[in-house]
Amino acid sequence: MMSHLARPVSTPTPSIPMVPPKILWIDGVGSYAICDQIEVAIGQAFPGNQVDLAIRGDISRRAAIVRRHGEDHLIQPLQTVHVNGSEIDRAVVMHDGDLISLGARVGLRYVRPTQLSGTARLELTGNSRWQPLLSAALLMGESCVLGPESNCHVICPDWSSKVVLFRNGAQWMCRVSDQANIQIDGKPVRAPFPLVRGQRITGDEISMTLE
Amino acid sequence: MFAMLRRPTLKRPTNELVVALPPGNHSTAPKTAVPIGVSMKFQYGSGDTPLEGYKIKRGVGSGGFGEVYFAESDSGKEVALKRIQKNLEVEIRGVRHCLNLRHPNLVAIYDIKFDKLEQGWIVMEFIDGDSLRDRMNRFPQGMTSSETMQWFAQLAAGVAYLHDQGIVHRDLKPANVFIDGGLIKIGDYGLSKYISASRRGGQTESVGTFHYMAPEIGKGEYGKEIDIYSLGIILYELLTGNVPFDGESSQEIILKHLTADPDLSQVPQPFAYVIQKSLAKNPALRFSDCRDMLRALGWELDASGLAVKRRDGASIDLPPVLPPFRAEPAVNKKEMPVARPTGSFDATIAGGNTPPNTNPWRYRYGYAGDAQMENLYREPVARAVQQAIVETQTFYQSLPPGGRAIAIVITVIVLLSSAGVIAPLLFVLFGCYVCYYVVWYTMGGANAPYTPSSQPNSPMKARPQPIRAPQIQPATAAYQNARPVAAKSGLKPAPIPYRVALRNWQTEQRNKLNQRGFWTRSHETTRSWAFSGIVTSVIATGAGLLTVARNQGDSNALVSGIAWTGIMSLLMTWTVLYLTRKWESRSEDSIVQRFIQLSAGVVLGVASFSISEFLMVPWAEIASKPFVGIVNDGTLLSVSWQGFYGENSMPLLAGHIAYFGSLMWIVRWWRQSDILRKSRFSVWAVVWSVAMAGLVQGLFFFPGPWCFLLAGVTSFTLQMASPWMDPLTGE
Repeated sequence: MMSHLARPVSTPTPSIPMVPPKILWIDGVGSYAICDQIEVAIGQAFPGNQVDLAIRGDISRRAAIVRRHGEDHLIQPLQTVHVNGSEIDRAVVMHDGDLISLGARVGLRYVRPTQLSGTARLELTGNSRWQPLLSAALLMGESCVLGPESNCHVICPDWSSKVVLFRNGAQWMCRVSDQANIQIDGKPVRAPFPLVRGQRITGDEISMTLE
Repeated sequence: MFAMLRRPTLKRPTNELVVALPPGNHSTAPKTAVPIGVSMKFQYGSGDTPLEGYKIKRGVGSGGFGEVYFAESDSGKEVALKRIQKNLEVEIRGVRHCLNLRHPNLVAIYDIKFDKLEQGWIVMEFIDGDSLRDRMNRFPQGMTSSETMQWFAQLAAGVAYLHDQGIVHRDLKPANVFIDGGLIKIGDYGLSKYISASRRGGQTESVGTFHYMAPEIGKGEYGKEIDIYSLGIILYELLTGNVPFDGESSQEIILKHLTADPDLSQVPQPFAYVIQKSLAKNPALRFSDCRDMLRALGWELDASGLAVKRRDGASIDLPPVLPPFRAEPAVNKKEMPVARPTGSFDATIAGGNTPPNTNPWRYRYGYAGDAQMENLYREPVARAVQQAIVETQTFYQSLPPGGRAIAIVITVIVLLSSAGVIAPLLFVLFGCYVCYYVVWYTMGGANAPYTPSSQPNSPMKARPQPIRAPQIQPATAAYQNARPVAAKSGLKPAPIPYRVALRNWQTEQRNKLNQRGFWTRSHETTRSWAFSGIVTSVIATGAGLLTVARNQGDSNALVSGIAWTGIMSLLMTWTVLYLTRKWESRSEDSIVQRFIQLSAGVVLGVASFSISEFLMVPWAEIASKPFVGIVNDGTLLSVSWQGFYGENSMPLLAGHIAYFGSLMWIVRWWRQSDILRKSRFSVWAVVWSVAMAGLVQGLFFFPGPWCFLLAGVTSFTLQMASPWMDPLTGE
């Protein structure tokens, strides 16, 4: 338990301007926030509150900040935050399966499906919910895999092929592992192609839109 | 029509089928099938606004009646939108009927709207959670009693509310039930009744899983009892992780719904009782109301219609292990010994044109009141006699009128001419049976299959337990002590014809038997030997006492005959048991097996001669008259078989060998002892054995009635002592 506290991080990196989260809506699967910034602020959902990930639950306006540090994600408490039952008073590294509680009632689970990628999934465990409604938030590393296997970052049980999202500078690109007959807004396209907000991507079983 | 159609993440082949429906009433077609592996194509994508005031976010699923989307209203209300693609009018009518239903355990319907293209949309509550199907898949061994009740009580409360409103759901299944936090939400209710009014031509309709369909749906009956039945199936699946009736094909599943009994050996009380009553084949024997079902589980509905634990807590103290309760009622075993093939159930279940109920026995019996069956019918011999009588009646009824008259005449003639033989034989048999029954009863026979603790002493104990081992999965903590089920596969092969199914099943089981170790097998053989010893000695003692009583002292001669019969039938039984255990794992050529039996018969003949010499059996005194007569006359016997018999018509060594050799050759004894034989005890097998003994007697003139008695007792003991696996349940 205490091992989580072993690696304190000294100075916070300079904060970057906040933009509303991108949401990937995947038909038949769910909705996922794409959090690709260095710092992700988590706080209570209420009108006008500027946080990256809003939770409708009994937590502070700004409850915690998740920061990407190389391949790791650190959580810095801004209110009472427990990691696996131990209260933390400074930023700690999160590990696969860690249970984080914000305040008394809101629980989060940090899932790192594979160590090969720095991308992780943040899921709500209790009765609270994301606003807008999300299946999970994706803390993006350099790449993110969508596919049928359980070690994918987004598990799409009915898919037969995988979709890999990867960074190309400030742009997210999309690579499809098989010949999935991908179309964007109905027009055939060759992978890799850029992931653009508002475009509908369809393939054999694939159907998704980045909002 | 409703609700969050989830991707069908089913853990087993679901038999989601597309069936061509015949014209007529096919309202039963379940509505929410999403065939596996078929990509989900949605007409609208994120951001589209086909319906004014709502912005679509993503597709959720698609069912037989339309696509379901997650959408947000302009003001931010999250809803599920279902686009009705088929039978617009019919579905709208059904949904309108349910528009104002209000219960916490139902998915709420907000509104019905039409877009500019005149497409119908149902606006309803969006549930962001698992379906009960998804949840169950995480518990492949079943849930604990309390987890089960957590979900089931709410489910029953929701169904009770629907029934109170006069609505039958008709398609209750875990995939239609959603979990919203800790709350159960039933979806897809509504259109049921109204669909039946439609008459569509022979079109293709997507049909859902058959696992939850009540048997009478095939007859076109849709009372609320079909929901009770589905609840019973779901309750069973919650507890065990498996549906009670599963199969490779839809026909097999339907056949099991119609004929098979659920295996409740893993299910604790009071669940076993509730499931059994809910799954009665006869709808009238099921619970008539969800409230009764809940009450039997120690729950009730409060004033607001929510399920709560009963305050008096009457029956909620659930026993952790299998209580003394018989899963399969004897009457069903007796009346439905086999699953019989009947017609094409696809058509009937989907179309409801031809009721499959051509055999009345199938619907005559439910389980409900049968739990209190008399001990008599649990006793295998009595049950077999009953079965034989029923079979004879069926045969008699199948004869043409002329044939019936001839049968009656023949029977009367045979009875009159041989009454002198039959009457004492029946008397002796009845005496034996009484002795046997007393032993069976005192050894806990009546309760044996019900209480695991008393099993080791019971005749039923001669069950093939070790073969279960390779197939069962470890039970959950709650049911650890419960008796594990045997091959879940039960009647695995194709449903028709029964003979083929039985053959396949036998082959499959034989392969499994083959995998058993030497020690297991020898252990079982020894146990059967011990048991047959007990049975034979009891019968012999009983018969001896009876004879002494009848002959008042002048019975020493008879006693020695009885002793000879007892010892020889015991030796024969042991021999056959030994051979059968050797052969059970393979199907050998019948000729080879007969020959080996013949060789064993020769040895038995030697033994028989030695024993009768030792006992000094006075054959001439105790043999029946015709035998003595022929010998005295010195006609046929003296000419043909001089070497077989001595001066006092004592059978010599050669006679014994001839008799036992022939008897072992002519009857396929190993079949009566086979673990995979058709029924546990068959009267016909005994009759056949006696008849064959008669044939041998007619050839060699071995002293009767002892040779008949020997064959009968051997057949009886053999069947009683041999383990048996029920082809229906695989136990």
